[in-house]
Amino acid sequence: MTCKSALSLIEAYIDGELDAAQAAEVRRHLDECLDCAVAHQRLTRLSADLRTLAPRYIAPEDLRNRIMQSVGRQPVAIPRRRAITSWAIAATVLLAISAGWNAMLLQPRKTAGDAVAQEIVSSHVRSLIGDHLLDVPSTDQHNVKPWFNGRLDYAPDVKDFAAEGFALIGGRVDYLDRRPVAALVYKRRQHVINLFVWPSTSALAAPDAVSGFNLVVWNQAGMQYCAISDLNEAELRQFADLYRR
Amino acid sequence: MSFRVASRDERRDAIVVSDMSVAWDNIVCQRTAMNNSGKPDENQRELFEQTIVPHLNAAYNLARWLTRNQHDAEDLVQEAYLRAFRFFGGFHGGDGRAWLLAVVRNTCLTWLSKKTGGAAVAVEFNEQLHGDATAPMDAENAMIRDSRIDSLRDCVETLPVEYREIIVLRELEELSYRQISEIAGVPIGTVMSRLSRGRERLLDCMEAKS
Repeated sequence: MTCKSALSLIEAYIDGELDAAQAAEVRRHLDECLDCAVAHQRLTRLSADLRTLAPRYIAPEDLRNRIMQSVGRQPVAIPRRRAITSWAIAATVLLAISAGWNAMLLQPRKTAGDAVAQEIVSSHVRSLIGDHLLDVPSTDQHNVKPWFNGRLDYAPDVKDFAAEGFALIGGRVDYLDRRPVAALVYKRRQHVINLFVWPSTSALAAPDAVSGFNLVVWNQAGMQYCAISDLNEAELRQFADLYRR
Repeated sequence: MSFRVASRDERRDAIVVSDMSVAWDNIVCQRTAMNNSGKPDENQRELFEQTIVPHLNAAYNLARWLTRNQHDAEDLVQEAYLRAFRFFGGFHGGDGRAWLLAVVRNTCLTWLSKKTGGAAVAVEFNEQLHGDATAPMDAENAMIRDSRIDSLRDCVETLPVEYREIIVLRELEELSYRQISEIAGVPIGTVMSRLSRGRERLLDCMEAKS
């Protein structure tokens, strides 16, 4: 690979937009060419600075309420549990009805996995409003794990990956798929990752992305795991791979 | 009465907006052509709450960077949500965040193009931010970090809006080239070249400040 073509690909390489073969070629060139390696380092540093230092502004709480009111809803300071229940019922009813009817009301082809995925999105979003995120704020996995004792009828595996850039910040009990579940909370830069863990022998089939959030689901040793975040897909997968190891 | 000539940045903003509005009209035409139901009904309202409302922070962050002030960002996000709700009948599932951000972007750029003779945009420093748990730092390191944050913010805020929006969508919202191309209504090649030029300007700006 020439410097000219490497330089034209460096940004797409950093942004994770190259296919595996192209990425490998760029990597090889960076190992051999000092000029390109310096350019790569400059851009990587800028990207890291923007992600860690530039503010990602949060909408004020009263703006949320104003918007809810303007689309004809009462303001909701605390999101309603009812919303999930009614959603779950609606989804079940819809499943029972014909596919055509489904398509009219919601997205086409609604499956049970989609319904759970939608619940997961709701839980994730709810956790980010106000201070619903953590029942047990702690960066120590040895505090978080015992906290679930007596609150759940199973013991979720709690791991910390602060060294890899996915810091555990705590946990809470949430409600999903008609049962209480463990939610472990991690942070990657400014992005919150909720990892839901509950016992299940059948693997959940959920889409990779729902309403703009990325999801990674896996089933391991009788436990269902679902990681959700607005973090980019590649890094969320990296998190899941660390956890699965 | 005094008159003020629009700054170079404002004029450039206005030029970008004109090609943007075309893209927006295309989106709306496509969407509304498919929407024969008129006003959103109760099911759509529920779906709107599930798919669009959750992306409020992304919407606000984009608006805040485009307007460079809190007050206008809030008003424009609210306006964008009303628009999104009105056109929601044409949303056929998929990426709710990208769809909403396209509406927010258009609302903000339209506003920027109309804004003439306004006072210089105030920059506020005391906003609630996503606070990352930071390791303890000694005073000197903390100062260096703070000044780096200020420089970076200044450099991003002074970027021409066509680069600024792409940088914010890529680096802060971490969206893919394809998603950004949908939101901005430009081809992926244009996303890449604007991203590249934006980054080059940021690097120059940061180096000039250090």
